[in-house]
Amino acid sequence: MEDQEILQRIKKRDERALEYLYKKHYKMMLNMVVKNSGSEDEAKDIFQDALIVFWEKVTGEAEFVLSAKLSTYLYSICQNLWRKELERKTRNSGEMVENSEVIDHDREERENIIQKCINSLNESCQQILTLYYFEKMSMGEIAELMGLSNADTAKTKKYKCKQELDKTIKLHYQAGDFLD
Amino acid sequence: MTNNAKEMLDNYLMGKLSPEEVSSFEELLKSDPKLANEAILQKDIIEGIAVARRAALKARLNNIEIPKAAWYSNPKTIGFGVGALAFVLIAFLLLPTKNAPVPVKEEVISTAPTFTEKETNTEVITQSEAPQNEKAPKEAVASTSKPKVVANLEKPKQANVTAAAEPTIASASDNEDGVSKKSDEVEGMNTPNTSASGPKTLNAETISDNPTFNYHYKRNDTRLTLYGNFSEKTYEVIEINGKNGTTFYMYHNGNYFALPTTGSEVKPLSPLTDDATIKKLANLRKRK
Repeated sequence: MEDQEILQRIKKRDERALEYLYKKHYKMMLNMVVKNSGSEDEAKDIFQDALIVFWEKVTGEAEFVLSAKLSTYLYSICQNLWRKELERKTRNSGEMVENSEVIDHDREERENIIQKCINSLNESCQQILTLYYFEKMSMGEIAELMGLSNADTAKTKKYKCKQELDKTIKLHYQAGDFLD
Repeated sequence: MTNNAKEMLDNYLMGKLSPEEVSSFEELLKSDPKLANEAILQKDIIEGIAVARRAALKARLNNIEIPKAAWYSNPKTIGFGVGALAFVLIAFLLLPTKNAPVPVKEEVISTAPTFTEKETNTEVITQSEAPQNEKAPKEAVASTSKPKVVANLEKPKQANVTAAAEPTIASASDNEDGVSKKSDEVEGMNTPNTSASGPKTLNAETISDNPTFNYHYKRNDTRLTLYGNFSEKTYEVIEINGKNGTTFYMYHNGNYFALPTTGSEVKPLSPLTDDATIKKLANLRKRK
């Protein structure tokens, strides 16, 4: 597959393009991480994260243009992510600085509640909210992808799903005393 | 909060407001603590949706089987690799020439038939004694007195002789030959099985536009449903008849997949990683 074809596929949210890139460039990224003090599992993790970053860039920016070969672009994302990871490891292996990492338990709890509430939605609600808020697709595109009659139908469905999610989260927040 | 305000907040967080609208909305946020709190909550929810989606994408990538790095790519394993090579060499020199067949690893597929040396011999005799005439051996093999002719991964060459020579025949007797190989283009793929020893033929269909399943499959005794794009690269179903029944594998785009039954459940297609099985399946394919 040519770079442009891959980009087009990702713009259409075809996840197989991501899988193709993963298989095609895995060894290159593995070499980079392993040669720089990493393990194979770390390489896998970093490359998966890099591909998701790439996916978000392509789907999130309407005018996204590759400034280099796709493999070079992915390699540089991997390099940056791995550099950050090495810095984080170095920080953690150094002397512990008091209060360097204050764990916000409330925040963690709130994030858990949100994830639970998202998972409790039915599949089509999860899909439409993901397509709108993460994939940043228009209502027309969502309607086409989900087989809904038109953009207005998609908009109504998205509104109802979001309302349901908000309501469930607020109920859980109240129970956990998170709301002011 | 009014629906209008909710929509405004949503558009603000999604970056859909003009610079002027952003300025005036931010003024509103400063003067309305309730709205400001709602904005924080909505921002967290949108981030939560992103977190869930990233996790799903990551899980999908994580399910892709990639062969482990070659031992020689890591200096730490070179010593081990050399040692293993020496061990194999010594074992080869010391063992008698009549090697026992290597069993198929259980982890490859739970329903894989057990292959024994005895069965292997039976198969070899059946094949070697088979006359060149095309019809006669098939009828003999399909007879009820000998319903369980072994599909032979240990001796793929023999097992594959008849099937490979006549890949377009998908009759029950052909299935009983041991291994028959089919593709979505091979004539007779949908021929119903008439063997008394259980189902041997799968009706295959592909669904390329399922929004949820991509590169997944569902299989029962008679039907195989493949989800994903199988139109660009032809897939091939490899059927192996063994002591414990028929086992199906698939070849697609350079990978081999085990296809155990899933009932009504749809499962992801994960490439096999066991080198020995892959090699044997590749040998079967070569003899097409």
